[in-house]
Amino acid sequence: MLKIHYDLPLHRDSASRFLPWITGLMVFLGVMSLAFALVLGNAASSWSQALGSSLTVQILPLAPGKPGQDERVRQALDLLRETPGVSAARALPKSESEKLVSPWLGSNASLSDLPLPTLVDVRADGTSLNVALLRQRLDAEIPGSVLDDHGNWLGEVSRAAVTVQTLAFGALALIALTAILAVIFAVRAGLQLNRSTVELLHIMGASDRYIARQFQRSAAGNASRGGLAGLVLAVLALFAAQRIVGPQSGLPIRLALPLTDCLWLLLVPLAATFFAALTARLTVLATLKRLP
Amino acid sequence: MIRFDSVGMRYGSGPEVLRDITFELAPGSFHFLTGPSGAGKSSLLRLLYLAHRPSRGLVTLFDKDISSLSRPELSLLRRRIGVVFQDFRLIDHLSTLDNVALPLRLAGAREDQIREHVSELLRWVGLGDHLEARPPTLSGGQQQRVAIARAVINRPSLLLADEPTGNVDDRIGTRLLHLFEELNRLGTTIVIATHNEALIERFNHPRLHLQGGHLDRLPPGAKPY
Ligand SMILES: Nc1ncnc2c1ncn2[C@@H]1O[C@H](COP(=O)(O)OP(=O)(O)OP(=O)(O)O)[C@@H](O)[C@H]1O
Ligand SMILES: [Mg+2]
Repeated sequence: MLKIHYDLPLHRDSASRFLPWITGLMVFLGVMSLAFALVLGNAASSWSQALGSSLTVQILPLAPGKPGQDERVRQALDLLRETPGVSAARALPKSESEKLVSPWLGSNASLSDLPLPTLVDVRADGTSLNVALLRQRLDAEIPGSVLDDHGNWLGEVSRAAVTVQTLAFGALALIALTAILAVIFAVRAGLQLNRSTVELLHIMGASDRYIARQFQRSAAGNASRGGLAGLVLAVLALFAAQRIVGPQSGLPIRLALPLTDCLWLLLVPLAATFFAALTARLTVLATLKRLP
Repeated sequence: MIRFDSVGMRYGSGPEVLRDITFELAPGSFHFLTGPSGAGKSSLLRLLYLAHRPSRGLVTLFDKDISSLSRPELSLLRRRIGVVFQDFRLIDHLSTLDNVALPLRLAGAREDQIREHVSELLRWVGLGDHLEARPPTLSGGQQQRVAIARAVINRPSLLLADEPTGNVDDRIGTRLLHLFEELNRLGTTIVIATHNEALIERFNHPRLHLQGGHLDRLPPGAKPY
């Protein structure tokens, strides 16, 4: 193994001492915004799965003389059950429908006299259901039926989720950019502070890569120390948030991330270290080009 | 070995410090470089150790036109040149041992060999008791010897020394010149810039004399008018 010799006192100058703090903060913010984006993505897809697989058909009561309510409900059920992509169709019993409206009408109102629509709960399996075709057939064959596929609401929700998610990724990109600028600044300051030693090494025949390697290692060391601290803090903060917004809170969002997503979070300090090293290297190489 | 063809040099956009310098040094030769203060001795050495590009003319080093070399080739060339700077340029936070070891590390030598080799040389220049000392804690003369040890540790093909005896007494100065002659016998080409006429007289080597931006060659023993 190669022992690292620092010919430059990089660990001493103030510019590189502040690098762990910067990367720590940046990694903290980065992990938080990435976690936010991932949570939103998961929530949006679980909402759309839950909603997308369920539809409702309302059978509105018709004026006396037209085909009877029970008759049309049976027709609708038959039609639905033979439609490809529908896994189950169930008419809500009158009592359940009444329960749904009771908050608005009061429980002691004599609901049985009201002409309530009958609700048919439809479960679709996967995406094989052709909603447009189903709507057409229902319109044609069962008068007074209305198909609600929650499509509008779903569209809004997922558009909103995607927008916020894009913002979170944008924030992540800005954080990364800020971190890179901070590394460039720190490396430039380090070069300036150690200018005479850098020149000396150059004159003694140190290759640009030899000199760059020292800055690169110092930057990687600083960034990984700061990044690790930032990651630990961010994970603690996420755990705390999860306890507050846990399943018992009743909010329709889960902060717990699946394992694969947690790996993405681990990637943030690794990426910070890698880019800090790369930035340091490129900055030093660019500066050294000015020496004869 | 070294050839200058009508070389001029200036700092930035300042006046030419060196004008029309033309000379040739044979491999294995030993020269003193003299001239009044400000004549450009250090500047000429800067051209030789490739810290500065000439503003005109052709510099040939180790039989290569240096303007045609790539950066990696230049740094390989620099490793064959040992330099004793007028202001030493030791690295303050490194021990004496690590300072002297630097050229060996740049050349990729093995750590165990480095330690043995370096401490032997430091003992020879009388710094055996200061292996772990930092340069700022050493006297001027001791620092100068560290600088010399660093310049010769790698047995360079070309040794350039700028006032290497400016801070030591005659006894140590003589001893250091003997070290340079020893190195010269082993094949190193040597150029020493100095004001020390006594040393120049004691050691019989030709001199290059700089004055008014021009260079004159003088045979051993001859004095500039
Ligand atoms: N870095 C620099 N920038 C601008 N001018 C410089 C620089 N270094 C030296 N000079 C100028 O170049 C000229 C030659 O300087 P140089 O140091 O080569 O002289 P020298 O012969 O080594 O003198 P000394 O015997 O005092 O060491 C001087 O006029 C000096 O002012
Ligand atoms: Mg000088």
